[in-house]
Amino acid sequence: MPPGLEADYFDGRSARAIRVSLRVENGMLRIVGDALDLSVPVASIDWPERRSRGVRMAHLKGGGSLHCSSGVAWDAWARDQGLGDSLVVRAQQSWRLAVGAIAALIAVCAAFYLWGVPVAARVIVRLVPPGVDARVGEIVLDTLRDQEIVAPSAIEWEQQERIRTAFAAAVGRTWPPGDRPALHLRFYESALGANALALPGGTIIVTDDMVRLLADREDVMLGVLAHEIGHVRERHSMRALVQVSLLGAVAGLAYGDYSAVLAGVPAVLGQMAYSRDFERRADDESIRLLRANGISPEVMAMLFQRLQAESHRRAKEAKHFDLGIALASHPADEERMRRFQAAAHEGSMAR
Amino acid sequence: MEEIQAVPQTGTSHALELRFTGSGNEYFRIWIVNLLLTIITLGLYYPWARVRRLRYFHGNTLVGGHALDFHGEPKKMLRGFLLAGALVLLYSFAGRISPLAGGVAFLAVASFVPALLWAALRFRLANTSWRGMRMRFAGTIGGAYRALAAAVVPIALLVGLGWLSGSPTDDPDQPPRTALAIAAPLVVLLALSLAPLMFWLFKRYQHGNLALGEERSRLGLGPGPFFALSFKVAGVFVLASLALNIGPALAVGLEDVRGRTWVLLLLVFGYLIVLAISGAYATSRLQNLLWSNTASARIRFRSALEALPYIRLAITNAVLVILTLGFYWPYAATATAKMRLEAVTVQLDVSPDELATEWRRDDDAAGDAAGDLFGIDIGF
Repeated sequence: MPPGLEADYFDGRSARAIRVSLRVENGMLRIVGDALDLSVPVASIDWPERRSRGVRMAHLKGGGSLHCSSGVAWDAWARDQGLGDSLVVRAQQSWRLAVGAIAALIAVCAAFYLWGVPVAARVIVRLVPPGVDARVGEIVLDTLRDQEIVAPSAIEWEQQERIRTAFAAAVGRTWPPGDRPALHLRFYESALGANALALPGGTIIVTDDMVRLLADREDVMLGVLAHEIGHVRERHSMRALVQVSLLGAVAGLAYGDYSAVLAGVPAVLGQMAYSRDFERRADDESIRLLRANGISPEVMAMLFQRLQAESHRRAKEAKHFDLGIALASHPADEERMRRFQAAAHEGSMAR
Repeated sequence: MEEIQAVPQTGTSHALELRFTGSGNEYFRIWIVNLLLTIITLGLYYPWARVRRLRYFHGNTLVGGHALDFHGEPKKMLRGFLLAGALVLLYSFAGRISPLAGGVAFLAVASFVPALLWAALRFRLANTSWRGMRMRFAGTIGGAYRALAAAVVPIALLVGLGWLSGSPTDDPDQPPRTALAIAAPLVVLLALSLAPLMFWLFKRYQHGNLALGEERSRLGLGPGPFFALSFKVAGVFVLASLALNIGPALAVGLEDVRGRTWVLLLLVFGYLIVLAISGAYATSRLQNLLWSNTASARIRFRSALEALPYIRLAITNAVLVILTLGFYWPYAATATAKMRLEAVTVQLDVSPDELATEWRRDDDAAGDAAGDLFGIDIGF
């Protein structure tokens, strides 16, 4: 019989080591030492994983353990006894498989980012009753009011009603009655400047500055409101909430060990890219409404020109950071303008 | 049997050196495989990954020539992981539904925290062994609530402040805004100044209940050094910010429009380095303070972790982790463990072999199984 492997046995009750010899016979591990002869089923033992160095420690049921200070001797013995490595252990000990794991990790993360998160968010949001959207929307509106980001509108009631009526009619011409989103248009004076926001639940906020900016262009205003309706119809704000949570959870798994601050960065950057995607979808809905009402999508160029002029004027009054596109929640104006123009040309060719 | 690296000293005192033999290259491969499996199983593999990591770090930590071992079972830890995950989800969603639900969830989670900490301390120590002997955490669950009870004061102060500042201004029963504006910084300052005391109470509980065989540790420290240390850490943070963040920001002046994105990114980078420096300073000083003052009847610890080399290591790690988008992390983790562990020595007033023969564990099962109940494992 070949000599067994020399190891130390600890019974789990005292810290005294007993020198033993190990051998596998018929699926049982024989542990033989000074006044000791144990036989333990191989399958019941918690075996150590192969490593490049360090000691090997096996755990027995009932608190006992086996320690071997020579990893090389243990690994050779384990191989001879037919105790194979799992795939995980083989991957951990091979650079080739580890590089394969890096490639697989990058592929999995890319798939998760491109398809997994958006699809999961759509499914999860479908499970959330619409009443939750409305409740979240109310909280957001309350916060905007409390922090004095919005204040009662100075726009005359007749003008507000004129916009509401025109928009309701335009929506009526675009979507069939069953598919028509509910309309809650609210006007507020706001420090946000010329802007329109879609809150979860369907309330659309239009700032007074936006109404003034487009006072002479009802067609452009319809395009702006249709863009916001696009966000409402697809529940973009609820989906954004779910997406940022999912991204944060995965980034936390990957980076949480090192730094919670760093773990937040991919979540924020990723959400901004998703947000740009939402804006494009909303622009598509805007194009749809404009076309259905016989307005060329090209009129939206007017919006971007006026907004740019306005932001230049504001930039002179107050300095602000100019963030690169990776940090922006909206696509660049030029890209969006091109999109509306391309839609206008397509439309004219089709007609 | 491998010789024990005990250096006989005067009388019967023996010093056991700590050595860390883990390698960055090997841990990188373990980490990347673990990460892949954790992500494709949507996190369910996490406990298995954690056990493998702890076994790697324990198994490469030699105390007097004998490695530590970790015995936690992934299946039990999965339960604890799911429980903790459910609490976090509950808390984050409750806050989004309504402030009231958020408040209730906060109170519910906060009332569980001491029990969770107690369970985690018990679990970690009951599953750590040296020379075949399990360690123990001897603290009680009541002790955990007592140690953390004082934290109610600053939390109540901050919550009360948030509630007052969130209430409507035109209500005549509420104190006027100006009084609130003066009181607010004072309340925050008061809450902050209590933090070292809270921390000391918790560490006294943690380091006062470590047990191995018949030995049971206590922390021979009052709250004073914790206050002194928090001032020093704040000082290091301010100096580092001036040098790396505020100074450069003022020098550049944020004038050049084209350069702004880069300036902003550099400032964020600088801020991360500031965090690395002050964090490393705090960690090194705290480790020395805590472990050099933790002792049982016959076992004493000494930690001599020098601040400057440790800060240098932390800066290198931070820069390389950021530049490699996180792939340097396993190298950083092993290098950090090596420097921190090898700064510690264990002093025994009796020979290790003699101590080993008298350690008996006969009354184990029930007590240690309780540590496994939820398998909660939180890193300390």
